[in-house]
Amino acid sequence: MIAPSFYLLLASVLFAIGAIGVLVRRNAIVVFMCIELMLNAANLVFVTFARQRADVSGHVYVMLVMAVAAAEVAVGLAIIVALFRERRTVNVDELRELRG
Amino acid sequence: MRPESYSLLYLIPLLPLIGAATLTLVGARLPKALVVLVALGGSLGAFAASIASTWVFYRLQETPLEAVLWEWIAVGRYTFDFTLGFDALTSALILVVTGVGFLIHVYSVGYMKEDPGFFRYFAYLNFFIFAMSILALGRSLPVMFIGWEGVGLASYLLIGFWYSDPEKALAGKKAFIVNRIGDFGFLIGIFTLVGLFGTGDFQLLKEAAAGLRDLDEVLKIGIFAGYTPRAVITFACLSLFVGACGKSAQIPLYVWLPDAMAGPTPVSALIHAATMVTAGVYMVVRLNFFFSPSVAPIAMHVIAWVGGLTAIFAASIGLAQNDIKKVLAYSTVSQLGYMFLAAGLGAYSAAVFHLVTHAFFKACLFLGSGAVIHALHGEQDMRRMGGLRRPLPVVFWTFLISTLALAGVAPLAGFFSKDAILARAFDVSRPLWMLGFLGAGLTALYMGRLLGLTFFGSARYNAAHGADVGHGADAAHGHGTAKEIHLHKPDLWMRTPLILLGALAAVAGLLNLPHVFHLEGVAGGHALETQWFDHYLSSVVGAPQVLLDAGIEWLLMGVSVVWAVFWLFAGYAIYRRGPSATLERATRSGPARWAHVVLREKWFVDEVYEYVIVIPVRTMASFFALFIDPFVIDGLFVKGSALGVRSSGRGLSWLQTGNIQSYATVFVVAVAAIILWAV
Repeated sequence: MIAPSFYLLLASVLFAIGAIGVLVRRNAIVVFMCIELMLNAANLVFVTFARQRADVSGHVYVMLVMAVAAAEVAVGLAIIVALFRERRTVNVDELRELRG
Repeated sequence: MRPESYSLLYLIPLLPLIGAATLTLVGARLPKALVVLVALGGSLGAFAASIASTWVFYRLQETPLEAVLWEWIAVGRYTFDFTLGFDALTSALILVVTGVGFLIHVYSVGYMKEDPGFFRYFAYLNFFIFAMSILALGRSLPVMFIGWEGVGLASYLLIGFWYSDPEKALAGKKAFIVNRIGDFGFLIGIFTLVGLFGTGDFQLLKEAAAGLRDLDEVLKIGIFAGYTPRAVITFACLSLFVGACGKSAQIPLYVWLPDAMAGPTPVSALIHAATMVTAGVYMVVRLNFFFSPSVAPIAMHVIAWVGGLTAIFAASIGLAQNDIKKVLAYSTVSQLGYMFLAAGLGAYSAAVFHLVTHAFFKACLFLGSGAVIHALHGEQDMRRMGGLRRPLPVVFWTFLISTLALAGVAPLAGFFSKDAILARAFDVSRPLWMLGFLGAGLTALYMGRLLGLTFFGSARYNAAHGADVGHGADAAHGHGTAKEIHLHKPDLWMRTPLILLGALAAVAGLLNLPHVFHLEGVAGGHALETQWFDHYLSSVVGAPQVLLDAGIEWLLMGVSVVWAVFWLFAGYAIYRRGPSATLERATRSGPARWAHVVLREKWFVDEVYEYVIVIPVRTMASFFALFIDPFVIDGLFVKGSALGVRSSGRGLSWLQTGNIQSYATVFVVAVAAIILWAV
């Protein structure tokens, strides 16, 4: 059996990749995928601990997170499509209408 | 004595209030007859309700009546009910207020007939009756204060009734401001008493005053800890007396009353002679368990001396005034001084008795002067009157009776009331008696002068009605510069109140004959009823005292009648042919000239106030208006704070890039920092 620390390490790496992706990528779709990556990193941590502590509630949270993520994808992609139709771009640097 | 509940007391203030409200709201659209009906109905209703209440009071063996209308203020452990009360003192005042008030309403119908502000005038007048009855009926200091302020408002509105004339509007403002100064003292007094006793109710205050065991024991608890009750009560009395000085025109706050003559003459009669200005006297007598020589001797000395000095001071000014209403105004100030002199000496019932008789004869005098002014189309200068005895007989005779009553000629009303005061003063303090006695001589002198100038001699109004006419005249009535003026004779509306008040001025003295009149076998084998009024008021102010022995009292009475008649005749004799040429020559140089100028210019008190108070206040106000307001208030506070917000917003707005990723960077870095710090 592989030690839990490896799973946690993997989850940390995935999360860091996702966070950096959100911060540095310009393409809204990529940013969006990076958010999914962070969510799944969190899921991985959940199952790791559920498994280690033999507690089923971690699995339940994973299901919940996946369901929310799915809903989020639907809404988020719809917003991106609408944005593209309106502005012909998905570059987040160009979407700064809220500038003070 | 426990008061009896009698809820119909509320009708006394309510009826005139309804009248005032109706006239204010729809008066402009009502025909004149209906305005008269509403106004007279309101005041007559109040008079009827007062008589009914007095009757009930009398039938219940003079048990005080009360009507708790509603709980008014409840703060912490203090509650103030809106309570009306009715006892012997209230009945005396309320009958005068509503009775004389009604007569003056009647008179005003004739006097104000042609004024465009007819309905407005009666709305104010009804409102005045309402406020004055609250003042008289209120059974606690806070309720009384409502009436106190209400009559002040009515007075202000009516003094400035012809507001398009800036001088009259200014007189109204002066009355209001001077009264504010007094009212400030009045409020301090109320707060002090409420702070000491926890209540403003007269009944409870009286019980609390009676329950104080030792007036000189230093208080240990409460907000006045460290002071003796006597000191606190003396402070409260003096503060309340400041209020009384304002409302009742005593030194040093009397200056508004002569200027208040800018109002229509019936208003001067009702508010500035008969009723409102006596509120201060009423208040002092009402609180006689504090205003008492045994409780607050210092305050009482102050009151008696202020009263005595005002009596003689104002009378001296009255000698040299040429405006008929100004003479009467200073006479009122002087007579109010007599009332305070009496109250300050503890002769409360004498003070109230003088209040009542003064209300009759002074109202009659003012209404008479109003009839004269009306007849002469607004002329108020006595130098341009004269000879009015024949064309205005009713006015002349009622005026004559009231003048004799005011001067203190037996057996008219003023003789008995003034003599009661002087007898008391003679007994307690000779210097004060001297002031009162000299004041009585001056009173007779200026009234003789007034009578001589106005009603005797030749008619001077025709020739003099030329270009220099018009200062201070009743605006609504002054018109034209016709050579031969047509006298406006008083109509029935005006004559009836004159006659009734004249009759009252003649006979009101019977209410309170001095005890020496208790002669066997004069009135059909029975002794004359004496000191009836003293006994009537005794439930409020204590039993009457007989101090002087009969011989001295007879002597005093004889001397004061001779004294009054002498000066009255002197005034008449000098002035009956008009402004005296001999006197004019005598006052052209030397000390006589100075005396004349000083009196004519009213001892320069207004000028002193102008330079000591008004101009410094104005200067300070200008300073604030020109520097503090634009630079500190506007510049620093208003514009400064706006500028601060705007520039800090602009400064911080560069953070708001609109770039989602920079926000997210801050977010991630911050979360990481928090986690690192926490773990």
